[in-house]
Amino acid sequence: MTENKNFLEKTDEELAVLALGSKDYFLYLMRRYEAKLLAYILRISSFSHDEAEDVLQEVFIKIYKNLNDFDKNLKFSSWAYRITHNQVISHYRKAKARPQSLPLDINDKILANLSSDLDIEKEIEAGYFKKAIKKVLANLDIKYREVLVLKFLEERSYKEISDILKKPMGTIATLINRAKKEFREELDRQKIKI
Amino acid sequence: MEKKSNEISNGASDLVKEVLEKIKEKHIKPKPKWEFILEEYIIWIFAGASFLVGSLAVAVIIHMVRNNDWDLHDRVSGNLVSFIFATLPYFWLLILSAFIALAYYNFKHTKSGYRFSLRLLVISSILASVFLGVFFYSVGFGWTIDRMFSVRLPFYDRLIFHRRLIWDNPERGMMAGRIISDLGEGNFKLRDLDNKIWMMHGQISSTTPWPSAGQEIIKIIGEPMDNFNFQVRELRSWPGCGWPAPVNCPMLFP
Repeated sequence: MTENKNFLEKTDEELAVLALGSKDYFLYLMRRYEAKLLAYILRISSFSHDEAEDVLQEVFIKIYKNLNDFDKNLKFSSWAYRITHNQVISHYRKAKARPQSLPLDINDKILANLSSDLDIEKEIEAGYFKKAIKKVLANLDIKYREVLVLKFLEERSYKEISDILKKPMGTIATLINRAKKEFREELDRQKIKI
Repeated sequence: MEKKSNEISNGASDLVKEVLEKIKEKHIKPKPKWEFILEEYIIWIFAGASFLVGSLAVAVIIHMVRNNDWDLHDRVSGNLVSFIFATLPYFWLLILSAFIALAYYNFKHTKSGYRFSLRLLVISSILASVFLGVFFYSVGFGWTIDRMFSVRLPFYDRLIFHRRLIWDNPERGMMAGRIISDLGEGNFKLRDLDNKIWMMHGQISSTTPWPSAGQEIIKIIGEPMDNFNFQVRELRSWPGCGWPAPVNCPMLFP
């Protein structure tokens, strides 16, 4: 119990080093990231819950195999999200599938973020807005969808998004602007008024 | 250890337990650090080598531009602009572009390469190649490489096509070729770039350094006397610093 408590106090980066010594300690890392990475996979993909869990298993095994490649200049979370992103893309390529729908989990804070950043009026009924966002995001190209998900749903900084997607920060800023534009255009295409 | 493992996995989800089981069953282990270090080193070595070749290309470009027989541009083409376009070292510019692209590609694949934009990487690669290229030129690498390629690679002179364009011009008083035999008193037999044999009539003093017969291509400025005889006024080396080579023309590949 005491040992368990000690591990709770450890940072992700410290746990990653400990996991190199014993695989049991990798369990703590997995427990910390299971829900976050599963949500991320579901947000950027069209996978079913079961399929997303399969991808997540592969992600954890990849993280474990590559623990020695973890760059200490990065946050462990950025590195884990990067591996997850790559695994989702690789899964898409294998399946040659295009996402059709998104089981998004959008809370009020995310709604507020999105509406202020996308210059959308705030006086909209939340339920309607959530549905509209899901529909629009599902139709966006994955390169736009993932930056919007990372920025507004995962609430990652530009630096973190840059580390996750392995693109310069300037490119991330451009991508986010384009993604916002695409988002608004998709709203118009689908005749969604918000 | 088994007991400890069970304690740790208490409260973990099925997915997490399953992953841990898989790791144990399949004896999956983290890849050793040296593999990642080696991979990173190899990428850096390729990036560095590409940058180095790019810099050497810059040295050759500087050498070619500086020794472009600018004084003859009137004879070759009507105006300076068309002369410049006709004599740009396209082959080496292509090599430079290819190796800058390779350096960029390799650098981009290093661990931190993704943080830099395409524009920043390309501009800094060009600037760094130019700086190192100027240094390589100043120690004679430009001349050495151009000459080495010209002597050892038969197709090279076809790639540097402007030299042939300029120096396969006996009617304009410009020719190039190899001396077949030295007849003395500045007279010699020459096989030109089209394999045609010429009798060359010179006024070169016997103290002037003289290229050996058959060794290398030389450039000749003068006037054609008829279809087989040519009056020689000046000899230059190919690729040249002039003939004889001036003191500031480095001879690293004599």
